[in-house]
Amino acid sequence: MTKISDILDRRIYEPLHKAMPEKTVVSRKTAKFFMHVGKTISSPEVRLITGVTALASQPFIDLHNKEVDEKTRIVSCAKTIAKIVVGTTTGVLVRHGCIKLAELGCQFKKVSGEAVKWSTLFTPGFATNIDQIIQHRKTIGTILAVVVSLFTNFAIDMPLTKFLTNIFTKKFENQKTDSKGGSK
Amino acid sequence: MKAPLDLINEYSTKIYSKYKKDPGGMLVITGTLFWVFSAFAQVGAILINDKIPKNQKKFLIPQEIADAGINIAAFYLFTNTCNKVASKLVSTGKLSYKPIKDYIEKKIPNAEIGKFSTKIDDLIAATPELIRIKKPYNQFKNGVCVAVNVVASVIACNIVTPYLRNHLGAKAQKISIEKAAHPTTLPAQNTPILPRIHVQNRIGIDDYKKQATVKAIYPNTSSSMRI
Repeated sequence: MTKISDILDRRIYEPLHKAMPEKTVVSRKTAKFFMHVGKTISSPEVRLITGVTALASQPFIDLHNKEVDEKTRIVSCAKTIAKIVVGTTTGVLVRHGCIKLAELGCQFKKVSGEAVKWSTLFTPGFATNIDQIIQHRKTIGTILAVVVSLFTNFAIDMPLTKFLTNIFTKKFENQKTDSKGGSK
Repeated sequence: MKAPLDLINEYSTKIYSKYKKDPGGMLVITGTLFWVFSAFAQVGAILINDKIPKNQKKFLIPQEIADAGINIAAFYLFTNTCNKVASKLVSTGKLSYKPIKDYIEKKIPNAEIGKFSTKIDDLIAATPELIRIKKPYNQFKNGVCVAVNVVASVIACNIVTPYLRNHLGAKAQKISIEKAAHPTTLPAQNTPILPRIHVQNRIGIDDYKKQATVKAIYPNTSSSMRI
């Protein structure tokens, strides 16, 4: 039987691969940049980058949505800003905190046959490469963060988004009435 | 039975084996899960917000559900595809770092670098002379995948999703406002359901008068009509 991965290879990845031009990175700076990105960027950094770019794009898209009335547009924009601010802040903190926690439980001193302790709880049995151990700590921390976010999404994100949405909506509506009053 | 700490350690080792060479793949899967859980919370935040009028909730709730659906689909499909293509480009050598490419071509002159079937990871594993480039090759590949992952996430979540979710949210709002303006009239629950009247063979007032006269004059006539 044909595997799904084979079908995806043939139908999607191979045509896309063929369509791409061949590129050889000659510059050492560019290669170093990629290597640095691979080493340093993990889930907290990705969340921060998507959050900042979301704040720069999404509220404007909401404000210029001509398919809904002005009042809905204001509430929608306020909700989007509140959601991004709260989601990015808690998202980055939870991911960062969980990676720090994973570091404590993934100390690089496990000897084969040794009993599992808290300090080597996440240390893989056959790990030899320090770079990969560092990467592994980030992976474990991110997976822990997924579990923690199940709780924080409802305990922190939900009420805080509601609170900030109301504050931003009031502010935007006041600004709107002020600017209308000023223009009269 | 294994102790819980041993079990956690065993799972951790499995995760290590799976993602040690593919941090981009890990970011896609965990990122998708984060969006799923976050979507539930965001819909809940609108539902519990009493200060948002009902009419706006009619837009905001479908907008949020559309946002979640599109965001998750766009994030997973788009980011995952970009990640896989980036990984393929580096592992086939179509996108390569010159010293690594030169070294492979020097050691394996017939290596078809750039072809879809080429797998540099397998070449390195099978050729002891290539062990020197294993580390820089993996670092370069990871870096490219993570960089592509970041760019793809930004495009999927911040450009594709907001446009589509606003469009779908507005459509849903229009439909529910129209429904509220023209409610379908259903019979009230306490209204008794009247029996159907059979209109066939119904007689008019003139026929009734005629038959009544006949009945009065000739009482023995066989007629079902009662006066």
